Amino acid sequence: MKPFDYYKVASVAQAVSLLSKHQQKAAILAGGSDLLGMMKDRLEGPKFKTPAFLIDIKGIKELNYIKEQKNGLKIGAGTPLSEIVSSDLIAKKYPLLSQAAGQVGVPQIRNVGTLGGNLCQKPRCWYFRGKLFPDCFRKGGNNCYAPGGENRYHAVFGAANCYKVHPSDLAPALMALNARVEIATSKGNRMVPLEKFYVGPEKNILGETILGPQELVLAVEIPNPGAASKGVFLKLKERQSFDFAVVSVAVSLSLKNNAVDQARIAFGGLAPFPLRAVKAEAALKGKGIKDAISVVCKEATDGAQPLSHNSYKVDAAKGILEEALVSLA
Amino acid sequence: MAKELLVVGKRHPKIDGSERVSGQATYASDVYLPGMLYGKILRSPHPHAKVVNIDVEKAKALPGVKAVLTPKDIADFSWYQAPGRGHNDMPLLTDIARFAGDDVAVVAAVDEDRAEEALDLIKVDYQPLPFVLDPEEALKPEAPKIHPKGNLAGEKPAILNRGNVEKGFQEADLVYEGRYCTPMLQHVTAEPRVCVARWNRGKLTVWDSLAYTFAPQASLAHIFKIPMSKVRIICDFMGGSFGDKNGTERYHVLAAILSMKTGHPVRIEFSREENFLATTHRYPMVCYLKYGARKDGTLTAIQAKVIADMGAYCHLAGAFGIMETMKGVYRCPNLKAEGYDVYTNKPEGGFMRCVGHPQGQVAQEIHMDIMAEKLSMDPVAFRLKNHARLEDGDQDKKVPFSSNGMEECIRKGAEAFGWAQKWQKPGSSPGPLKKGLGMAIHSCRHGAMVLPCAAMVKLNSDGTVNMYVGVADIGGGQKSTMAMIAAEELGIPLDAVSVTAADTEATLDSGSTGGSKQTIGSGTAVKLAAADAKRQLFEIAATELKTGKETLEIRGGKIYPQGSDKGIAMTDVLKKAPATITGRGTASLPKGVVTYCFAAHFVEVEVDTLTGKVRVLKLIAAHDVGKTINLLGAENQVDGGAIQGMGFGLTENMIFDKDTGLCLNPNLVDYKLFTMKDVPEIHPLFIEPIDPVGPFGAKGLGEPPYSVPAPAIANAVYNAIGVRFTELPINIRSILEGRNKGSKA
Repeated sequence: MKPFDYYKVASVAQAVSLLSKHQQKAAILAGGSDLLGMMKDRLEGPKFKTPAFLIDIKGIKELNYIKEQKNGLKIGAGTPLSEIVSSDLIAKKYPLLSQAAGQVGVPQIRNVGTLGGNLCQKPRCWYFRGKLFPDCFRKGGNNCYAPGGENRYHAVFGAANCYKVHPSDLAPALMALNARVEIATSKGNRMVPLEKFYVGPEKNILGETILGPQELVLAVEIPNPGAASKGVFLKLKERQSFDFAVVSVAVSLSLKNNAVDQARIAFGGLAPFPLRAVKAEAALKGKGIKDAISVVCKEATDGAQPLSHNSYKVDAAKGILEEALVSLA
Repeated sequence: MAKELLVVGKRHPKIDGSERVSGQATYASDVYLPGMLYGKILRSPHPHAKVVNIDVEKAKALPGVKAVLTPKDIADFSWYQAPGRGHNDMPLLTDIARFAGDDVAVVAAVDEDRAEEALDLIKVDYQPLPFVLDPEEALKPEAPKIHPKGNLAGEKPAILNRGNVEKGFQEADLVYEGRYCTPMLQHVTAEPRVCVARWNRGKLTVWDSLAYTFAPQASLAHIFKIPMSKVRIICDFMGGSFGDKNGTERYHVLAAILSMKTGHPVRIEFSREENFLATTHRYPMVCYLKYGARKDGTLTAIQAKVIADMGAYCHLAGAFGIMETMKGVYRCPNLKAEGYDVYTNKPEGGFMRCVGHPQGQVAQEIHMDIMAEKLSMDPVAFRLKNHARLEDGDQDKKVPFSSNGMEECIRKGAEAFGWAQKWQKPGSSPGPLKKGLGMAIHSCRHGAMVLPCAAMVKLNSDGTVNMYVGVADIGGGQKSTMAMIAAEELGIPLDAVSVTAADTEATLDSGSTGGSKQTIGSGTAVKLAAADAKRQLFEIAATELKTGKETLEIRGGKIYPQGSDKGIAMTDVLKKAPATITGRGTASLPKGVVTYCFAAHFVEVEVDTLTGKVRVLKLIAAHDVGKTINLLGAENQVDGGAIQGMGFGLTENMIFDKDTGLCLNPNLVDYKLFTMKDVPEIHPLFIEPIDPVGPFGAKGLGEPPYSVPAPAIANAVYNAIGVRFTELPINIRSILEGRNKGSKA
């Protein structure tokens, strides 16, 4: 590992001030399960450098909480995933979020990994993660190796040159729950819908979010679930533990007179960002779940642009959405 | 005479288990010596390239860097001629990189970070050369040549011939041809390759994680031109071998050279990534089979063409290892097989749990399953019809097996599984979640590969025993097995036996812990050594008890004439001994029989046809192991081997980028080992014919559990969805693409 300066901060203000000072040279250290691995791997590219400054926010106590508020729930960015998994409140009110958090990595990773870290993790693309592929767009190079290479796990939607997929399990779950992200900036806090928080490579080839170099995720807010609502998160992976999604799906819906009133559907593993399936949601609205399954699954993957080795992911997405809908019907 | 066994055949936790799990065991990776330097190897980033120039000045100038070596610096060491190693085609450091990861230079520095920084500072001018990854492409005349004599290692194929296959095909009612492929796999030992070398007053000591310490003792003595007595290799505890870490490799020699040049102890420890990129692997296979059978199911001809993708360097007969399964698992008068060991620009193929047999059995057992269906025969009945019988043994040399539990493995396994009740027509399972069942068998001669093995025991005056064995405990419980055999033979409690293993200065060369051979090999030597010590005890005891020594026996630490309750304490006998009693035993290969292990596995899978996910629900693993020595250890071996074998079937695969020749998944996230959550119910079932060769009738077990699950799973997937897969792994993509295409078989 290359040498770096280490700051242990006690407040958000201190963290933001250090971020403002060191900008791109600094990185936030929370659980470290992604960051430290990349540093040990000495992973670098033209615009992807090993951080020279680490700002450890684990000591900021006010980032670790799960609290109920009038219009919903708020979870601090520093909350370990294991606490989200074990929260009775979340299990009762937002079971799909418990399910998603419980599918991340392994227990050890869930113990150190945080909500903020999970949302801000870097893509698992093996060309991005490969030291010997420095020319990758995501690292500031001029190439994407995926279209002509081994692309079985790459994006089938929204690629725009860079075919990474977003690896988070919590992001699609929170998107289905219509969550918002609270961000600390040097000019105060701001709140953005999760869908706006993530951006595709056409907007930011060097990142996955709108976070600026001096910004930090503080919390996630989830609105109260509607009446007669239910949800599910399913994750398809090659093995049952310690694996990222080939495709995951989060479905949250409310029912009125046995028909779907509101529905939100989001996929993980299909696009460079958690992918909301708006057309599928529309196809579901006003219908009985069972009656709508085949058309919803078709709409969900309409417009997919698979590469040479990943058209199966389109089938997998349809399949897992069908299983999610069946489980809710 | 059926004497009741007190220790053997029971369940015993490993004698060193508590040391291992409590962190007290000293593995080579735990050895940190004062003044120790860290060696790091500079690896080629190209799959095939000429090293035009190496500039090491900046690296040498970095504070903390003590040595930088390039090919020209090590040219004086006679590496190629050294005994104890297999490669004749692999340079110690290379000026032509033949795979991405090939050793180009090495540094030693005061810490790991400094060593890594020094690697960054070495400037190498590479001239990239055309490369080839596919073994069939590599055999074409226009392919880039990886070694001067071309890409066929050994320059000619391995050939097996028995009877007349053409005649066999003429006699057949069914002739079926198929092509089968298996991927490159890594051992993924918990402890990566590691050694610490130290020179001290002309003597070289190496702490190592190694299944065969006597190999580098011989090699290093030769390379440094010193007597073998001046080289000591120690492997007390080891975090897994599975066939890797099994002989002298480059890093042993480089660590020793660096230590000699710097005057410091030097440690070379591979990172996980290096362990993927630059060790040995289960070599990929492409296999063409053509088998003939009569209507009644009798095999009349076996024809095979096997292409073993051996990577950049080749130190074993890879294709031959695969062909052994076509040669011996089934009885067939007509056999013709040709095998090609092919160089490609990938990491080298090597020994991995059951060598080439798992690959061969994937081909053969899927092929047999297809033929059973074409003959309208039950797959179990088809195996029962054709498996090699006791008298068949080595069908070419006409030597029978020493014992053969195959029929019982198949029958009892099928019964425990409920095969007959569960059997369904392929693809007939209703609904999107489809269950299926499959089976496969395996036999291998590993148990017969007994090299001369030797062991010593020393009886202490308090009645306890120190035992000295050359066999390395690679994690398979070899120390415990040896201790149990000695305790049984000497009639003493297991905890009275202490084992010193695989230290070249204290034990005797007994070959590597590989080939599932040490329970028979070193186990026999230990039994004989214990018997030798017992004989000496009885000579003294007979005088003391005024009786004939033939009538004596040991019970609970006392020596009695048979049937008498008037005995003498072993400690009292030991006091009368003129000197410390030591026993020696040596074992060698018996003539006139071949000792094989036999196995039959039965699996049930569930295939989610919506998502492509395959889950193994249940595995019945019937194994003929001869007499089980440690029942708990044997169960562990079956569990571990079967888990690896299931990963082979469903998830594991080293993936290479075609444009760059680089491995894309040299890490534990992207190389998908089975996890505990993937593991189904596994039921080991031991068939125990008392084998006349091994100690107490025991045979080997380490490897066969690996060889059977993958083809059994492939057959079960076919039974579930009616789509045949002939290429591993069968993952989500295979299932969904296969589902859309439909069956080809």
